[in-house]
Order: sequence, then C-alpha cells, then structure tokens
Amino acid sequence: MTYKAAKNGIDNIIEIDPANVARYAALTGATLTPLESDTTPVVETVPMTDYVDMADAYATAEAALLQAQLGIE
Amino acid sequence: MGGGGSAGIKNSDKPSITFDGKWSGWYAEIYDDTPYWECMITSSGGLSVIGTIIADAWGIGGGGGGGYYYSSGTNYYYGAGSGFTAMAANLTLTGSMAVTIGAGGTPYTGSVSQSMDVFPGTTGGATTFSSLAANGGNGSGQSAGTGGSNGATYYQVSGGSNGTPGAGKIMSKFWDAAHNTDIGAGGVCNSSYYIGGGGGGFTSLKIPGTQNGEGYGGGGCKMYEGYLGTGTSGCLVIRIKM
Repeated sequence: MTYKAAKNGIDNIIEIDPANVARYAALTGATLTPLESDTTPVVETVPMTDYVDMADAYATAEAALLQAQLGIE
Repeated sequence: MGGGGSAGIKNSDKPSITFDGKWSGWYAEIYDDTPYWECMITSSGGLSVIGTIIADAWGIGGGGGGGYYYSSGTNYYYGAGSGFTAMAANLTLTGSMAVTIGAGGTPYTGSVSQSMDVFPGTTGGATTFSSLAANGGNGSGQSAGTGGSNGATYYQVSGGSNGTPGAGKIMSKFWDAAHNTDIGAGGVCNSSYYIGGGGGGFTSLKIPGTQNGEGYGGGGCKMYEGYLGTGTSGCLVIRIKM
C-alpha cells in the first residue's frame, strides 16, 4: 500500500505493508499517512475528446487485458 | 558475516539478518566469480541485523506517474520515466535499519477546468537505505518524463529501456553487465490513439493491459480515462560476500 512519509518538511511516497508502518515510523521518525489505494479505479471528469475513438480503443484494451489474464498468447 | 569461501556453503551460513516487509529471503548469487548471499526487498520496513555485517546495496526508485495534455478535442498521453538506479558499496549493517521502497508516482488527480490543458503525473518515490538514495522517475505531462529509462511520447515506438534513452545506467542489479539479462521493456506506444509508453525498469515484471514500462520502478503511462498510469514501485537488492 502507498503511504506518504513526511519528515523535516520533505515528503516521499513509499510502498509499505500497513503491518510494518509502526516499526518503520519508529526507525525513521517519519510521519506516515495512507494515500488512496493504487488499485482503485479513478473516475475523472474529462475534457471534450474524441469519444468514438476512445471507446473503440478502450474496448480493444479491455480485450487485451482479459486475454492476458487468461494466459492467452 | 563469517564467510568460509565458496566451498561447503550451507543454508545455516546465511546472514543473520531478517526483514519484516516483503522480501525474497537470502539466496546465493555470483558476481565476477565471487559468491554472495543476496536478497531482494520490495516493500518498506525494518532490517534486524545481529552483529556487524558489511554489504553492498543497489536500488531503483518508483516510476513516475503518467500524465497527458489536451488540445483541440484530443488527449495526448505521455509516458513517465522509470525510477533512477543507485548503488552503495561496503555499507556497515548493524542493529535495526530502515529500508524505504519508493512507490510509483500517480496520474493527475486534481480537478479539471476548461482552461487547464496539462494534467501532469507525479514523481515516483525515492528508494533509500543507509547512504543509498535512488530517486523516483519523473512524471509526464506535456512531454515524456525522464528517469533511469525515459518515457516516450505517442509518436515514438516505445519508452526507453535498460537506461537508454535515459540516465545511461543499465538496468541490472549492481550495474553488473553479466546480470543484464532481465530487463523491463518500455511501454509500447500507439500513435493511432496518441498514447506513449512508460520507461522500462528492472526485471520483466509485466502489468497486463497497460502502456506502463515493465519491471520494478517502471514508468507509468495513462491510457484512456479509467485506466491508471501509476508507476511501479521500486526495489532494493542487498548482497553480502560469503
């Protein structure tokens, strides 16, 4: 999971399991704040764009993703 | 580490070091005919060292987040750079020591307005350990992000890999040429849909269905709305002479 680690006015984004946060914070003296999960889909308000091309490309990408998940070469 | 040379190596000779995050545990590896104990760490945490041990470390920061820019009804997606690599030799390990694994940068998450046309991704996190610091790759926006391997614009073939184009350092642990065999490819660009590719990181760890660069520290590249262009987190490799 992604956390922001802040220390002495400097921020870093780090990858860490929640179970390790307390010890890591004790070792470094940093303050850790969880960030949004990087696996949560983000829905954005988008500017005007070519939605026809976008939808077509989206479907192609979805198919490729499913194929990869099924292990199809 | 009380090594006794390469003859008669036993599991019980492994370094007296444990880690509380995600890691490989200790395995044998050879560099320039010299045997080492080695481990790979992929999440932040704390090392616990019994005694005092001399070690080398190599790491890669998190990949940058993919960004894009909007012009005349079309979004143009650019790849972010992979994390930068760094190495530190002859580190003294003792007691409890923190390991920081840089997370991947994220795509633009702020609000969107009509007057705004550049939506930059963020820089990846730094991977640090003792005196080692491997910075994260730079996010993209109206141009591709730079990093260990650079990201690419939509009209290129793919993001950089193995440090070219990029910072010029090969993507192998300890920059060892003999181990330069498992390289993250750059994300493949798609000029038809104005999609670039992220820079390739360390190893061929793949993220299916994305234009991100492969591997730990791979750069992100956003592709269409709803698809994240988050960079991949970095990693750290520690080796200790047997």
